[in-house]
Amino acid sequence: MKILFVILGLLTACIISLGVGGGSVSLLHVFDYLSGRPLGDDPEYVEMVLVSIRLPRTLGAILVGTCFGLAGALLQTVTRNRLAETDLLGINGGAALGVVIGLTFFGAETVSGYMGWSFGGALFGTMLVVAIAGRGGITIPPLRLVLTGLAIASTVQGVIGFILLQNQNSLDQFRFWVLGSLAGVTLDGIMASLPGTLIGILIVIAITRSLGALRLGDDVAKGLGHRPAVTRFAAIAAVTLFTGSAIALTGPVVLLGLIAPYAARYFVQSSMALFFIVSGIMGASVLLLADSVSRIIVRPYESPVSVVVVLIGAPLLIHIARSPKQLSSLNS
Amino acid sequence: MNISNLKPVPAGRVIRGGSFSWVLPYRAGLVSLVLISITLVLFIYALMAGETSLNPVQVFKSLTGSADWATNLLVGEVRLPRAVAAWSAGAALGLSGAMLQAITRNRLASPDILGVNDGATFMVMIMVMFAASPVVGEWRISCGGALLAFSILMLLSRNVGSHGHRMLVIGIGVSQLFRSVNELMLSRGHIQHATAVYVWSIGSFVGRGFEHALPAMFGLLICVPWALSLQRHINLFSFDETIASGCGVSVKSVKLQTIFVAVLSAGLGLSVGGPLAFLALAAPIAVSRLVRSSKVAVVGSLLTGGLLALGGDLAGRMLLAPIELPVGVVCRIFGGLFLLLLLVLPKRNAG
Amino acid sequence: MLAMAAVFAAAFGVILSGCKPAASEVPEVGNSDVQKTRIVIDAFGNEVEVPEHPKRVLALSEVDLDAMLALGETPFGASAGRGQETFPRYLLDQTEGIELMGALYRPSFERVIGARPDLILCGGWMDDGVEKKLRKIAPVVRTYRVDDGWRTALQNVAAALNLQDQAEAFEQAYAERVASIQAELGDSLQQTASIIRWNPKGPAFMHADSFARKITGDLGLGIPEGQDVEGPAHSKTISFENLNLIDADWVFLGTLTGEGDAQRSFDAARSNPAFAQLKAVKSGQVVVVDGSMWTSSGGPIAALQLVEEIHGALK
Repeated sequence: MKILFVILGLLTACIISLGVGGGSVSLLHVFDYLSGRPLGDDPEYVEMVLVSIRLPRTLGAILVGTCFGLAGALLQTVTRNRLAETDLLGINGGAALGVVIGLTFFGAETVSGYMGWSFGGALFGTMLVVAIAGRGGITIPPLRLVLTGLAIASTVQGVIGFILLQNQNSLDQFRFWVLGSLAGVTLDGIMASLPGTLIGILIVIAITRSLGALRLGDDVAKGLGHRPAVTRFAAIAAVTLFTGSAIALTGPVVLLGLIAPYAARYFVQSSMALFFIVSGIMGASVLLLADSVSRIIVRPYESPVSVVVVLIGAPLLIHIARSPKQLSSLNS
Repeated sequence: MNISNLKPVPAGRVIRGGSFSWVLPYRAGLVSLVLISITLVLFIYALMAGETSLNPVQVFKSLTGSADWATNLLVGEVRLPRAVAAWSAGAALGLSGAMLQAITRNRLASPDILGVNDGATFMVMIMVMFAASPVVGEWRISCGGALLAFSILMLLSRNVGSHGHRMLVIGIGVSQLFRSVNELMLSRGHIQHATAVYVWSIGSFVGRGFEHALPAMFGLLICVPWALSLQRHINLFSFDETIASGCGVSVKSVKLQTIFVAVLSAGLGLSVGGPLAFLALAAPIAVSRLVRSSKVAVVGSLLTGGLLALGGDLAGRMLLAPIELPVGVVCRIFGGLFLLLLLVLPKRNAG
Repeated sequence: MLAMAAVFAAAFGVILSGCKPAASEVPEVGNSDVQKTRIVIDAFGNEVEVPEHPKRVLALSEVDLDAMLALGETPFGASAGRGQETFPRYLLDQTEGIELMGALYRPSFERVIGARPDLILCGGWMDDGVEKKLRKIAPVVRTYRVDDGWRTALQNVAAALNLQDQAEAFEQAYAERVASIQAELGDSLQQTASIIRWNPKGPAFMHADSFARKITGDLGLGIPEGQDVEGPAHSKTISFENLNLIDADWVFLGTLTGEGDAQRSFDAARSNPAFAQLKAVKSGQVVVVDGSMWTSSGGPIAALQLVEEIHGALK
């Protein structure tokens, strides 16, 4: 029943995303277009905006939102830490660094060109997290893990700052990219990001049961025939794929991986599979709405969507950190 | 990470005279001496090194104004003011870190993690956007920003200290919030503003000199004695707050004063050359390892902070010469690695 | 009042230089007679005492370098172009022998002192602290404010170098060239032109007081509706849905990417459906230009070159 609400929410968000923007095309046009009615004074423009601009943007938001939502849900499950999120753990930073290197030194200019760099960077980030979290096993205290991420993120930031300083003319090109923005997302870019995302989703489907068993502890999981180490490795691989694909397409979207699983827990109590599905949908919905806001906030100019997401995410981060109950309840 | 260091042997010699007794911290004194000498050596090296390298005799001559025109200028107007600016910024930040770590009883508390840097950047940006003739990074602005950020943090985390890492993560949240508000304002403002604020927020001592160091130096003249007077009370806290109040210490007042000193000196430190990440974190930790005591070390942290900033600036100048690396970038890279090590390596002096 | 102030400042300068023993340390030791000085008032209203015939001049912005070269002078040193590792790309054939003084706005003091300049020209934005330090090294003439045009810069540079006649000659040549182009092109200059910076996340247009906008204004090309925004720089990134904002009879499209590979960014732009709908694209009137010259601030030589490029495109 509740899942119906979630899906309805996603559909609403999609419609809003199609109906809101810097231009003069409104929700009414969307309905007109869908029902095949005439499109006002300038049908060519309306169709162009809807099909060539807002549709890719909407699809891009769904893809990227799902990626960050799922990556967050996976990380939170594996580390048993509700603050685990690609940005807070420094994985986004790693991927961004990869892309900045590719852009600056190797002339990568398209999403498919970024992709390899983004994956490489995300892998570097996850490896660091694994190396550090691995020392204390999975029981590394939640807040401590976040600080570790901060350390990674700011080292990476320093390196990015250094690269940007040497290449000042790239500065304003990077500005939007580094902040994460859905402007200029094309279908080509989405197609380039799709394979990684799909493989990631397949991995999640494959390991959902094992992850459920891991909640009961490694020994129980082993008793049930699961291999905890393999499961964790697969989860990390999926996180890398999600982060790499999403960041190559739009740049880092901060804290989305925190918001989506948090919201998902309102709708899902026990089922691991449902938790992942709803986390993905929540990520998509939140990003769609945030992107819609970012389009109209400084009309006719663009503002980066990441900023809008942080305005929701940062208070949530504070809220979670403030309540010990949130942190200590380790289920899902 | 609550520190309750109950070593039976005091880290120093006890001097008694009638009803008066004082632990002479000879190890701390020794460390301070060593720090001062390293700072001096580094300082002289900073005056010598550069694209035109000078020998000590030339440096000495130029300090007395008797060298040739170019050398006098190079030392007197470029290298010396810059070294002084770097040192004073680092010293103020070191002091701030020591006070914050002591009062929160948290080794990882430092003004930058707690959102002070981004708060200061926020104020700087408001100033740049709305003032008629803005001066980027004036000390009053960055102190105001630091106070604002810390007040928000205190409201959110209720009681300072005894929360472990909680306060830090809340600080990260506050930072993120400031940062996104900054970005939002920038995306509505002018491109020139964006450039000015961006350049400031990197942190660099290029073109910084006595006039920028002056507020920090002056502030230190007030903050250091104040901090020293608070030092003993804070050390009492490290045993127990009830013991402290039993000894006639007003816990609340000492806490508030300490936080005020910490935030004030953080703001002053930032105002010199922009935000320097992790310096305030690293200085007190390095000192406590050197002194092998977890007591708050006002002088030691101050000296170490100055040393680190001076060294960082020098490294930024020399590492990739002739390309210059802003000290803020050096701090982020090495500071981040330092924090990482701190979190990963087994703790040695945690209670 | 101003004259009195000038006299007073001159007197003060004489007293100062009289009591400074270091005056004999001024470079060019071979030149035994003490250099005569003049007072100039720069774009920021500062009264600066400059040598009568400066010999070692540093041009610490691209416009200053451009203006000096336009006056037929070669500076001793100059700073790099905006975001470039060396001098501005469009001046590279004239910069041989000029020493690099570091990045724009961030001159290397070590090099500046090493150059022993007797005059420093720097216009545009400059950090207060950096400026104060430069003043300790040599007289600094702030040649233009950020929103001043190249003419102001040229006049102030010429005033500082005592080359007003050359400046006038250059302006004359420029005006003649503009007039001849106007005569040749006639009505085709009655069109509108957009000057944009392309970025995959959306373009930005140059504001009305920007360098390139002033040149198109000289020629008589109009500003499209909605782009008449005051300011010396460029707008924020425009939403693709509002791309009609940048539509005009002519679109000059530049980027700042490293090697000035504007063609690639044009290809990228053309693949954008919203861009393809612009009337300038449909009529083939999009001109790919070097963003480092068109979309930042340029000096007189750049101005003349822009005029020629516009002429080449429109004829």
